Amino acid sequence: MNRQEFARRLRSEVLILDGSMGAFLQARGLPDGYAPDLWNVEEPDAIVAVHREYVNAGADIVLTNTFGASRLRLGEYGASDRVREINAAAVQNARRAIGDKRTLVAGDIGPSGTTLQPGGELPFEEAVEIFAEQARALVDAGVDVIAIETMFDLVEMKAALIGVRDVSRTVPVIAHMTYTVRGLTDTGTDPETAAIVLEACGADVIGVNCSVGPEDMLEVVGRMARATSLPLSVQPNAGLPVMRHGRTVFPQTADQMAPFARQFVDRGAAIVGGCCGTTPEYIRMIATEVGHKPHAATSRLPGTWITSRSRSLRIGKGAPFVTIGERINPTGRKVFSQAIREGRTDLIVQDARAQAEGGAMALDVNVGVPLVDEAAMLEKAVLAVQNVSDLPLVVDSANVQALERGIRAFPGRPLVNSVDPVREKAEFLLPIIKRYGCAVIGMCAESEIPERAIDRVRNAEKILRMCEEYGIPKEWVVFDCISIPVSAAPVAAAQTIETIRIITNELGCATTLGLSNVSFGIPLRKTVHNTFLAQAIAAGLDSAICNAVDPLLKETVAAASLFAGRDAGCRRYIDMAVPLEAQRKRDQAMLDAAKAGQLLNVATPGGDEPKGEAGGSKAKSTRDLLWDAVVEGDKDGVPGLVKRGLAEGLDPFDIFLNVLTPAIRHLGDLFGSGKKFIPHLIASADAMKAGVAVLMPLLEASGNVEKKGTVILATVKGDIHDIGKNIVGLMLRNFGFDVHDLGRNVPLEDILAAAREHKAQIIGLSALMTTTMMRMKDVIDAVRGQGLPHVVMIGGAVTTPSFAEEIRADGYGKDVGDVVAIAERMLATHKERFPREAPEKAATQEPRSPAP
Amino acid sequence: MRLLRRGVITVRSGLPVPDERAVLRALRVPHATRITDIEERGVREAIRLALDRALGMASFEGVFRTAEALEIREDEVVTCGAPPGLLRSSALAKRFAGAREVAFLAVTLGERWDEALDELARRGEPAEAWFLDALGTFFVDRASRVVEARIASDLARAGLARSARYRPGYVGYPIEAQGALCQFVEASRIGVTANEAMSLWPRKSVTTVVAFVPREDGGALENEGDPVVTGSKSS
Repeated sequence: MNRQEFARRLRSEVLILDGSMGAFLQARGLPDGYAPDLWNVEEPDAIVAVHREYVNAGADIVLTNTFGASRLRLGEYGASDRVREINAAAVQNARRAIGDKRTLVAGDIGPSGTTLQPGGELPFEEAVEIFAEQARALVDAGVDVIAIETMFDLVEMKAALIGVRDVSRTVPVIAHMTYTVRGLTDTGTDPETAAIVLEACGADVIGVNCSVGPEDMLEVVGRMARATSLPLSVQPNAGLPVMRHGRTVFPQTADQMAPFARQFVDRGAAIVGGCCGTTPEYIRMIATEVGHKPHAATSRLPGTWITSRSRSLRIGKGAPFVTIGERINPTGRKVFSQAIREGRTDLIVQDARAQAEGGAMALDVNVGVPLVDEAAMLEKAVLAVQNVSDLPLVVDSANVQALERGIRAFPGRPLVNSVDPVREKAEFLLPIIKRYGCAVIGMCAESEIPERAIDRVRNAEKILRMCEEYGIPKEWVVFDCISIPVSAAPVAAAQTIETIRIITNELGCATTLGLSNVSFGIPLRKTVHNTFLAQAIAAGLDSAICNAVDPLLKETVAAASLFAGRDAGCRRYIDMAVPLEAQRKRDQAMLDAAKAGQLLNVATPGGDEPKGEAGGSKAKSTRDLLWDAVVEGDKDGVPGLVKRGLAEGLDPFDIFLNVLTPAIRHLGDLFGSGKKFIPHLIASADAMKAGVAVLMPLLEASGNVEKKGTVILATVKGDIHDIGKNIVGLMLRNFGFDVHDLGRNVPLEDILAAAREHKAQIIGLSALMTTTMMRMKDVIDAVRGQGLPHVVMIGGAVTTPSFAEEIRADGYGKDVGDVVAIAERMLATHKERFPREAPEKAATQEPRSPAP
Repeated sequence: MRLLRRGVITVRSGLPVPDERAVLRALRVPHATRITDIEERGVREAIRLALDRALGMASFEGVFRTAEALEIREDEVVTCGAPPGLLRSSALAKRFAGAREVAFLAVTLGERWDEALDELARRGEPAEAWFLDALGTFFVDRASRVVEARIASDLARAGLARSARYRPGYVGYPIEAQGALCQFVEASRIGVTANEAMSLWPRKSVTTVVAFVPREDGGALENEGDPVVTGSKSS
């Protein structure tokens, strides 16, 4: 049977698929944990008997007993070299059972049992080869159909489909994914996305089996039916599995399950069967219900569909206009290009996130930099982008090897940029497009861009003819109608518009443009290319590679879409416009208030200029503004205010002692009373640090600076955590301590040596593990044992007051909020130990709080 | 019917973007729902900067394996294939009562987090490091939940549901189990090791053991709001 025959048969009637095999074999003595597939050779009569029962129950298609008969799975039983033998035996058993009935034999291919790259361990091409090996064995043994089932990962399904199609382009393929009760696969793919990808990768029937019972499959089937024109296939479990007395059982009866068959058929299922927990009785009742009856048709909105792993997007007539983010491209970007040369993806990821958050509907990814291994880099870029965004991708390169690597790294259905009408180049790219089921941008130009629309359209037709040779339907092609800088060729824009019109109306294909080109070399670029965009949308343009986050572009698209029939009920426009209008009113009101003089001090977010308070009737002093900035953790604002204070004649010591210090203490009091929290304390400490950095040269130059004390900080030996300790250092430095931070994993000897060298009063120890906290005791014992004068303070998540007491620590800090007070108290309490090092009293005097 | 084989399995993925409320809880800001709820501009900006950095590194690697629970003793959970004593703990045995399967996992955000944190420390930016470190701890826990959810989806096909999760270093489960656990799941495959103090390197790594019980008896953790691997948005 070939694909056309199978499709014909499915158009006219529902076919019945068989049910579960495993439970039957267990009832016939299959040991727990033994591979059922091996019984094809060891106990063929048992297999034949089960098949026969299903045939007699009315099954039109039986699945061979080869769910786990691929190389990897058989390898778990030492049978990896018996793929051909076992699969052939399985087909033979099925044929024996069928006899001379018209029942079809479907070669069953199950998952590999592991995870595939990029999200797992098995390389994609190795998976393809494993599935191809099994498919070859099944096809050679004479199956009528191949059924790939119970796939929970879209990438693995793609590998299986590609493997099967590498073996045979004529055998019909049924492709089932399996979904959880959430209606997604284990790896997050929704039914629509799966439908689009499976169809593109060569399935003839798509569907769902296993994991859940029929009621949880209804919505999945309904969603698939709206995303494909292919027939559907459904094999539910007999309900959700439960474990009873050590065995997995499926509680739904045949009576309960059979009625769902009618609902599946009404949603477009052309094949209905059962999975785990079902028996011939279930199949008999399903066959009675729907066998050989007509079924509803499936249909999908026309256009070119592209997907990520978990999101699908339509490009075409009547669909929302698609904005494809253009930023991930090294052209004209020196820093970005350098990052690519260094193999870095941080800027790529940054651009991906910014565009996704800014409203791009897909992302173009181009990393073409001279002398870079573009194939490796494009693969890396595609992997990096899909980690931060679930948008569909446009994989963009002039290098075919790079394109293939990028395509293979992407779990969804990408749009490939691009193929041109030159046969010698297309011959390399189109087989890849076909193999991986990609959509492709067709460039309406060869080495030179035709001036006239008619010549561009001729190129488009040439591309379509070549695609047809490779079995690529025109729905897979989006034509780039070419935008040329208007400054270089003023009449070209009109030809581009005409090209869009002809391709949309006469060729019936989707269209796109690289928008920014049109405004190259001309001022007020956004005005120019957004105006052109509006005209192009009116002519039928479906998508553009553009600056998708530009607010003016977004408004242009939304407004132009109203007139192009892409926004029924003006819904999308209103959703965009209403909040935007409200925001503009608010912005205008603020501007008016500023002009009226009610806003004091110019606000420059993040700059050195100080921030004022809107609406106040009296300007705050610099001291007060500085106090506020510290309490608010405004690290960027503090330096400017400090400089302003100094310019106004404030004394550096006054600023430090009477503004910064009391501000941070006030924040500490708020933290202590639970009104502010750790992030506030840390942000304020950081803000104070920024202010102290401005003051310190002046304080030191005055010669009057006395450090309060010297502190050695360390995370004890074996412990690699130090973030909290570093904050302690920040706090202590802010308050005038001289801090020497030895880092983490510090041996005892180094701690004592540093304390001696710097004549430290305080040793501060941090530990975050129960396995390292006793090293604190070692330090304290060594200090006492050697009669050293240092006082020891401890802290860290695992430490407690009782532990501190037990190991005779001099101080214990629960968190960063009290560490300064504890340090000051320790110095005061033990000052007799440091007679010559005791700091000048003036530096520790309680500061006056500034006026509120 | 389970689909994933026994033996160690590797997974890699990006992390779903967390909602702001969860981020703020992770940063120990209890009452705010959105970052814009925080009055202090400096605090808002510090959080946004850290979140921006964190989201740029929000991918993980994990390894896991499952084992049949053979016996739940008073002070130990015995599983098939695991080294003796790996799950020796009365507290853990109590929590894992009724378990039919146990999953063992190790997850890491990778060394670039350590590089980023150390770079901030070198530049004298301990506050920025603090925010990023707190988010890293939050993210690696989320990553662990993503891996758990994968395992749970597979074991659900066998009629099992999650009931409890535990980690070395939790009450009654010695941190010393960390080394053996890392070996059992072959954590070195993803570059995770435990030092002599049982600290994991890279620092933003965790190990977890999870119990699965028959579906009708358990399910306490099922609705814990696992980060969904990805959403389903189709146009």
